[in-house]
Amino acid sequence: MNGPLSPSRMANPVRINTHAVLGIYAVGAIVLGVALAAFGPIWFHGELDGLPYAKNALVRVLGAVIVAAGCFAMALVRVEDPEAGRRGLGWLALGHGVVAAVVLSQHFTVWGGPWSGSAIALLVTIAWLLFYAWQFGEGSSGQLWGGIIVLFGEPHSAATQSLRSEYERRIQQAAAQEERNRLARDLHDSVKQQLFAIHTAAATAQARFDGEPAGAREAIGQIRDSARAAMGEMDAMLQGLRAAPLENVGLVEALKQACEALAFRTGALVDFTPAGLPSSVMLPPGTQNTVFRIAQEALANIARHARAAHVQVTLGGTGGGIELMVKDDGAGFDQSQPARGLGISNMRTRAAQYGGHVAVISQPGAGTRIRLTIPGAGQDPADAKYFGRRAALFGMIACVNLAIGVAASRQGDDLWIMSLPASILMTAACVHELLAYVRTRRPEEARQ
Amino acid sequence: MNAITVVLVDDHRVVTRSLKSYLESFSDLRVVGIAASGEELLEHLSDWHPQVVVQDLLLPGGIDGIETTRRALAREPSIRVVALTASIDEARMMAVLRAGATGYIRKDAEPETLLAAIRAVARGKTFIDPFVARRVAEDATTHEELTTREREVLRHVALGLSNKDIAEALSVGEETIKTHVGHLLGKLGVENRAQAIVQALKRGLVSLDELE
Repeated sequence: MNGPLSPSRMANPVRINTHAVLGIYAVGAIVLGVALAAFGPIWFHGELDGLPYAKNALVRVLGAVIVAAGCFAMALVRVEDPEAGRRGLGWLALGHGVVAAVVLSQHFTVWGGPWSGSAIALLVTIAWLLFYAWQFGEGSSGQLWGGIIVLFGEPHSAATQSLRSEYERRIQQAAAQEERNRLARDLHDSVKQQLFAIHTAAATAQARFDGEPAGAREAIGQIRDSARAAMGEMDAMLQGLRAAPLENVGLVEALKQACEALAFRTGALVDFTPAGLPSSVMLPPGTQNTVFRIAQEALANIARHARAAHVQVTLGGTGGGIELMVKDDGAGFDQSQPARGLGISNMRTRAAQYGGHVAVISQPGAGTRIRLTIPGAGQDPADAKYFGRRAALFGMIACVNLAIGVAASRQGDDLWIMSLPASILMTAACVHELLAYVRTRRPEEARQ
Repeated sequence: MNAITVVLVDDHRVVTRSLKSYLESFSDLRVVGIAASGEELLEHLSDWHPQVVVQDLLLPGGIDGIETTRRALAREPSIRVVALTASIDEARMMAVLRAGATGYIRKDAEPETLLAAIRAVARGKTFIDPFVARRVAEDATTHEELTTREREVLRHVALGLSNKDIAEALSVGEETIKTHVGHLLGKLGVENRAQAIVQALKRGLVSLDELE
């Protein structure tokens, strides 16, 4: 994170209602695509008979592709992470470019001559690219850059950062609220009930004091038991609270403390086995926090419901990601019944925010096993190969675009001009990625 | 004298255990059953056959305290239910009274209050936690049109008198009182006498001391 966000930067992501734009686009595209696939050949040439079949097919495929684009846009409407949504928008714009290029090249090489359909397709593509660039613009100088660079997820671009931090702020707010709810639930389930018992047992002692001293003594014994239990639970909760700022102690240490707190609270034997974790650079920011919250939820469930004698907690890294396993031999629950207040859907939602998955296996009387996997970011953004691949991809697109332009101009068609803006943008993006590639390669070589 | 038989329903074992030994400090009370859930209560209700059920309103999963009360009373109309609650929420209170509970006690109340409530409902009276009643009374709103006679009858209903007792006190026929009670329940928009007490408190027709 680059420190506090200035208002102007925050204003950018909310300036356009991406969801509304995408929704309108999706509906329009699906209707247009279906119509084109069904009636396209008739529209463009009047009659179906006597037309070249290949041309009919091209028009119909174009219709189908537009429908697919509409569906993709519709799916994007449902994506909550604004960064992911906008990256999807980039892919959509790129897809338009590819389809327009294929249609144009097919048209020019087979039939020659201008055709308004492909011209429109190209115009739409350019409009998309400009719109996309505008969305990511960071001040006047970086307008177009912003759009192209984030296409495949540049992690350090300012626009992405502001979106990312806005999104994280929302998640953190929700997490804080959830944490408060969990605390309230814990307090209600443990200390509050013990205090009730102490209060009642004290009344019992008073009531039996004269007539039945043995009963009074027993009640005082209950008071002591409950007071001790309440103190233990309070300690466990305080420890849990203190362990919360993960930044101070790290995930492994925080989990260790949470396991100790559980052992203290329930008397169960709690094993904690940490294995090698991927470096935090490889994980999206906030992943470790999410892992810890999910573990806390799972441990709280064990404390509240499981009555387990043994609990096993394993934390490890798999292929750049994180894997957490929480296993107990307690009461378990019936998975065919809707899970009640176990917060499993909560865990799933949290995990899904980081592309993770929560698997729950449980049976009444046979304990519960919860396995959380969160994949790594895949490529290390600082990896030179990453920039290399992006440079190659952008370069290839630029070349295809230019080739179409050249082919069109040799046919004597002036429409080739239309392919120029996209070619220039892609070439520029390619150069930018190449520079990044060179930059990241150098320190790597120096280190070796 | 026969002991009042009591069943405790709460999902926290420390609560039911301590309540049991408290209530059994008194020779006129006997705890005949403990249930951790509404389902458990309903399952054993006919075996235990209690006079009074002390019912925690907040039960995790399954059926809640209000629903448990409704079903228990449908099965055994002779039992009396004292609702035990951690929150004071008038809507919930009205709901559980509508379900047929005749006692309403905060969990934070003194154990003696619960004792008084169990004894009161076992005698067929309605018992509202004085603290809750005070809250309700403070929340008083302007009353709609009740006739002087109806207000008088409501006051007596709130004091826990039966129709017959009221008829005697006001020296009129029992049928007349029945009609009055029917009218005033309708005007207050409530369904039973326990709910009517809450309304009487709101209108300041009875004071808290009188309810004791």
